[in-house]
Amino acid sequence: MMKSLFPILIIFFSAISCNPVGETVSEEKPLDNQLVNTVENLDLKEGDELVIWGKMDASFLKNDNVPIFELHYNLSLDGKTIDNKTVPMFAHEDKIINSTYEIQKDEEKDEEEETVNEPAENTETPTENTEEKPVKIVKSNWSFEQEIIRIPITKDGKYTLDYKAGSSDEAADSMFTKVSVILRKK
Amino acid sequence: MMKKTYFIFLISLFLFSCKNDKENEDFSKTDEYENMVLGIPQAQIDSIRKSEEKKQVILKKVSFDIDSANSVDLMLPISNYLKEYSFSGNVNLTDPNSTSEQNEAEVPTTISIKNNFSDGDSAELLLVGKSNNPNIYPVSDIKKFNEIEKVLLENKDALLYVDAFGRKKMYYRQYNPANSTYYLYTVEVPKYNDQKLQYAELFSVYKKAQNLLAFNKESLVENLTWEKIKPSVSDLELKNYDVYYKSLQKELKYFLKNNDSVNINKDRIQFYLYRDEDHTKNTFDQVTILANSEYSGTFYDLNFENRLHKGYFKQIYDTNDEFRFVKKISEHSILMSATRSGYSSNETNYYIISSIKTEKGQFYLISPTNKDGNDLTALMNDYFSKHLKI
Repeated sequence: MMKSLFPILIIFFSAISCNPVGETVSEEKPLDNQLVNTVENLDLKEGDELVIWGKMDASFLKNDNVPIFELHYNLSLDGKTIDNKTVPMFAHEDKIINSTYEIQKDEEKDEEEETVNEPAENTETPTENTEEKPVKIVKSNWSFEQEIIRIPITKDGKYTLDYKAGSSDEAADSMFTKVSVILRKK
Repeated sequence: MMKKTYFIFLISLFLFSCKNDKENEDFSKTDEYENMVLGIPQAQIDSIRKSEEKKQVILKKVSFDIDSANSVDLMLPISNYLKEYSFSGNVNLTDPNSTSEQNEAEVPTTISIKNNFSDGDSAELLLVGKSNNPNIYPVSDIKKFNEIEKVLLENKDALLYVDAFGRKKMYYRQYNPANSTYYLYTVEVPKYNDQKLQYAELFSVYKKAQNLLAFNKESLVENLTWEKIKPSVSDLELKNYDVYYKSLQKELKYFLKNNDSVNINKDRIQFYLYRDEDHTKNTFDQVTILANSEYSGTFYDLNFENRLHKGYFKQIYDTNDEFRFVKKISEHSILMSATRSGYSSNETNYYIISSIKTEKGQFYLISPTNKDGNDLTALMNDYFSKHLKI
């Protein structure tokens, strides 16, 4: 029980201690993978930069392979499209903040660990197992925020951002993979 | 003298104002408490009730088989359906602390009344049973056996209330002396984050309850359109449906390019919307072609370039399965049937296919529907294909 509380505490502290990334204009919103997500009434001024951040919150990641998503977005002002693009999410390792990472603990390894070459056999003892397995799958919990794109604003107004995201990676469908979008401005 | 009067005046003024203040405070306290229990001011609730009362109802007759010999007929709003359910609901009909068992013969049948956005199976329950006592399960019992914080409406057969947790609930009883049958309807409104929506739903189910046995009010199903039905659909359903169609509208406007598609499958609702690049380039509309040729064949035999099987239908059907035109629903929509062969029983399903042509290209919207192509989804899809909103 305490173990599951610990990462939550870390996320909490890192979240409140960090703010060099601009003002948050729309809080973390979990992605609906079937519907178009909409944020209305984004009050932006000329010279602002709207920054779209993706948040990944994944448990039981295999060898830190974060599934790559494609984000389709459309920024509009009074019904007129200002910017419409498709950009990758979580494809690089730069511009990451609020990252918390931990390897799945030892006791859980017996159950969770698998090898690429052969399935884990419960009858064998753990020590024999580790010797026999040449390629190990390390499972981890990783949560972070990453800057996806900056959109320069050239006109004052109340903007609407519509977006949707999908992934062809099957890890993306896992119930342990949670993706959200956060909007900030600089 | 003047000084003294002035002094008394001051004191009395002070006392008076003090008392006034106190009175005000008490008043605002009870007022505050009331508002807290209700969530929104009483006046607002009253106006929601009135607007729900004014709404027209469009009803259809639905039969539920209790067993091979008995069935229950009910009048329900067009978007509702019945489901078997055998557990108790969210309103106590008997003393929850009493341990005495009910007489077996008296155990009523429980039916769940649902729509596409119901909160599980237990939110709206109808208990149907036999009794010679026309006053069985009186409202006074319900008041005794449930924790009621505030009664919103009470009469001989109905009780609408807010409980200690702010949940909105309804009890509605009816008795038909002709067949000695009682109908008990219990409802807990879904916990939406919007108080107004919760009250609208509460008064909407109250109206539903009042019409449950109104067999003289059946609407003609043939000429139904979304325009006619929309005013009768509950705010809660309307708001939920709107989320889907707004999303489809944005897919059309901003996101679907080339041969892109989107598959929505939630809350018992299915939509498949896609753009056809070839049809866009050649200004070709397969809905018109299928209707004019009254197509009957397989997916494989379709003699024009299409993405029907490549897209939606390959999830369920083989290219050799039967695909057949049933009827035209409007200029934009057709009803098609598809039958899976090679299984012990050939099951036929029905689909509405709507053509949507915008400046962005040629799109098609597909949803499963009933054999007449006149369920709520079909009516909304057809309307959406013309107006790009519901």
